[in-house]
Amino acid sequence: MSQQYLPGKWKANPWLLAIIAFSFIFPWISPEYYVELAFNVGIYVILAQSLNIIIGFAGLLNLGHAAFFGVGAYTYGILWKFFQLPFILALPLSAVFAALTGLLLGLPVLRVRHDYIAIVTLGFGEVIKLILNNWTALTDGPNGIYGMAPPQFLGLILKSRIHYYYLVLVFVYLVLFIMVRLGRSRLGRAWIAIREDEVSASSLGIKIDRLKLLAFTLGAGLAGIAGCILAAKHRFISPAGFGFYESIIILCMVIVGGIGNIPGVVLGASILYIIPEIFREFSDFRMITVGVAMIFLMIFRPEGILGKEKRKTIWVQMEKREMR
Amino acid sequence: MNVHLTNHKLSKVFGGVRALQDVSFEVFQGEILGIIGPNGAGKTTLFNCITGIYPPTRGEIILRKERKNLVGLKPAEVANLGIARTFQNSRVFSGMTTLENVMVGCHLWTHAGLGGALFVGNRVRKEEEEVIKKSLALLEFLDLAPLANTLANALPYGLQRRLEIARAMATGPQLLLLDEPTCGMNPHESKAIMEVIRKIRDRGITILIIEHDMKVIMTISDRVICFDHGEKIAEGPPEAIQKDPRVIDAYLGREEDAITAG
Repeated sequence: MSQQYLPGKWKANPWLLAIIAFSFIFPWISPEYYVELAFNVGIYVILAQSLNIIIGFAGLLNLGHAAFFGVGAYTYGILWKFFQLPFILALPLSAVFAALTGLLLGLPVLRVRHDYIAIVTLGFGEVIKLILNNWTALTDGPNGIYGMAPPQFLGLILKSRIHYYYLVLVFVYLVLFIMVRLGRSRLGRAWIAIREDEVSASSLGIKIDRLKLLAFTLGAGLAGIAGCILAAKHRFISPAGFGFYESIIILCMVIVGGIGNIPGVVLGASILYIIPEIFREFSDFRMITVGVAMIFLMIFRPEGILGKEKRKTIWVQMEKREMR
Repeated sequence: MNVHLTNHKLSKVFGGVRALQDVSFEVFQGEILGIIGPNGAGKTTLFNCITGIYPPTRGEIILRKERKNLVGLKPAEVANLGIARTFQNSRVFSGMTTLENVMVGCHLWTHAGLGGALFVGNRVRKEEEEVIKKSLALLEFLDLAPLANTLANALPYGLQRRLEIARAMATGPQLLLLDEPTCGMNPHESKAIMEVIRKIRDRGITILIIEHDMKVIMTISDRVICFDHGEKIAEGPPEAIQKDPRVIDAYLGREEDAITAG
């Protein structure tokens, strides 16, 4: 009966296919400036989705997400500085180190609830930034680390914007795949149960501590990948890009997109990155546009830009099928 | 009859309030044990101690077959030993659909983890199918099947209580703790719930039920325990409890009090 609709069976959606096709031909039909923009949007989509695991699924308000981004970037930077480790080897290590950082932050978070989680994660983000700024022997402090060689894959040296665009695109789709699969799984259900009501969830046998740690570890690991890719492209990293402001922007992307809403968060990340770019000529005043846009969104779309998440459950799909 | 659960000298103190005082009793396998008492008598505190929401200050809770002391276990570990519960105030997962709520209840006996979520193999697919099948059957059992796709917070209060029972049943319990399952229901709905509770017992599940509706508790229970001010004041078959002077005192106040007050 329900076989058709279980996870793992992929149903082709023409709109989705069109968007995917477009994303692959995009760099060939658009000016380079937009390819550059799209690369950055891709980085933020990965970051926002990774935060979406922590906030959207498990319901843990994390105000220090940029720290994981930074750990990922610095893992590559430091490994390059000391061992000239190539990108392709550094990438998985960035994910691992960021994930371990996430696990480390998860441990104190288990001991607190609600708003206090925000405070703990906020402090944690600042601690990481201070370490990056002050442990000069390791990180070169505010000067940052630079001069990483361009990544190589099987003889192909990544050097143009288009190359990096495709690199980030692959990971955006990987992360989206992970998100969709998680959302439909036993694990995703358990996370959402924790978000909705911890006491009920635990009384049903869900080990909440373990799953919260898993959310932090996984979300942090994916953010670490974004950091490593960014470091590879810019061939320069400094602590400036991984502070509280970044954490807040990533959080806003999730909120604008609708907490837990996967396509919404893609849209949220795109909008919040692109709006300030459009108004670049107004320099610092452009951030006002972001502020105004957010106020309006929260008034008219408190559930996120796509509105209330349209929940397509197994049951809806089953009914639809029976009617045909 | 075999003993399912023994509570030995349970006490729970909140600051200066003694919510439970040296409460001892046994729950027999396959019975419906009713728990009554005025507000603040310690009934829900007892449930919370058994299910590990918080530990008792003193005392033991022994699960007989497993020979295990439940004191100090976390709620998830207690659930894993075959004890499920519902809550006094409806605590359904309001953002999830009715079906999904019950599917969460199946978490305990399923295994797919992170790997299972990402690489959906045959085993995971079969497991999910079983979860859906079992969840739908439970919704059917509680007459909620037509509402499987409704968000839980859109259900009327009485149906949310039913959903909570379905969700607790999904864990596959041997002992079910019901905290005022008919609270907020009209007499007709209460009657239907009593029918459901009997059917659950007929499946071999032991039931502990807290209830304010005397008609419900006296009809459905095999035995009744009455609490007052954190102490067990009476225990026995429903007919005896109804006539027990201490129980009448607890509910209606003592005669002397009435005289002094008057």
